[in-house]
Amino acid sequence: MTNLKPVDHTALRTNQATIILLLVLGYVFNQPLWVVFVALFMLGGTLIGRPGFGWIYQGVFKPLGILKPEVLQDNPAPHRFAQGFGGSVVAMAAIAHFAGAPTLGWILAWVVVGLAALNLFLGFCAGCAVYYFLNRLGVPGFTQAPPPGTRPGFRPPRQA
Amino acid sequence: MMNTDVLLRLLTALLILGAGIVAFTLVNRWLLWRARRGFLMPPGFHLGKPAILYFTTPECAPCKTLQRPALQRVREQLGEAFQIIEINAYDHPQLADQWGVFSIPTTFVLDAQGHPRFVNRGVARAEQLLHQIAQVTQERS
Repeated sequence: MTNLKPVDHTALRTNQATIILLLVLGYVFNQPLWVVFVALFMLGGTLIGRPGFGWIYQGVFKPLGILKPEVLQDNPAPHRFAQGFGGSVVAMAAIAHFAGAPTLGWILAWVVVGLAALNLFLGFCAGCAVYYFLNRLGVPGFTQAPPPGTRPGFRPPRQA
Repeated sequence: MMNTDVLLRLLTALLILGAGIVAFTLVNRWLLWRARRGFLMPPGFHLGKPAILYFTTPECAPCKTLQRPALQRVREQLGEAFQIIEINAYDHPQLADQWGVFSIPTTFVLDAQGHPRFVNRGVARAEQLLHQIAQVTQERS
């Protein structure tokens, strides 16, 4: 089953870029609180069904014309799952920091940076691919199949 | 002490990001190889002349403000010695997919047989394109 809706991929990319920037700066300046901040926004965004840092795009970059919308017919659910999954890993990173395991905390944060970069630069959403894999296995709750003509996890084709 | 710590972390971050860039370059090469393997002649390509295959969309702002002027400069310098094939990715989604286009603008430099030799993801400067075309032309002669 597919339930395609317009999804603005520029909002998703702004979210990924912000996550990367904050986590890398958090690492450089050794600020575990930034990890907590990122986790809160990612998990909060998942709960309300929006990209955690999408408000930066909606409130700043889009009105100023710095970034243009790229609206594609896509499934929002896998992106939400991917953000929730990433947010959970960042939350685990934060917990590791405050439990006295900063190395593990930063490794987990870097894993999320890597996955967000994969999505930002190559258009491959690893969390979405996991979602579609679980859909193929028939796991309850994972009801959406990839958009027609799209490989699981990759960006759907642009349409006229 | 704190400064040393920040510098060390910055260095580590740069190393990790550098490794990411290397990985990105390798993936790019693989995509180019894939495009070459599943070769599909772009519409409007005339055999015997190198070409720039330029994927764009109507809303792409950097295409209008940066990429098109850069292509215009290349055209002014090289004249009719090569072709520019502009593809609207909205009108040709299959073609964009087959050529491994995942961001706009993307430019490919094709040799005289139409085989992709270089790919530029994002805006490509005129100098960069001229250098790539020169390499393709040199190999040919």
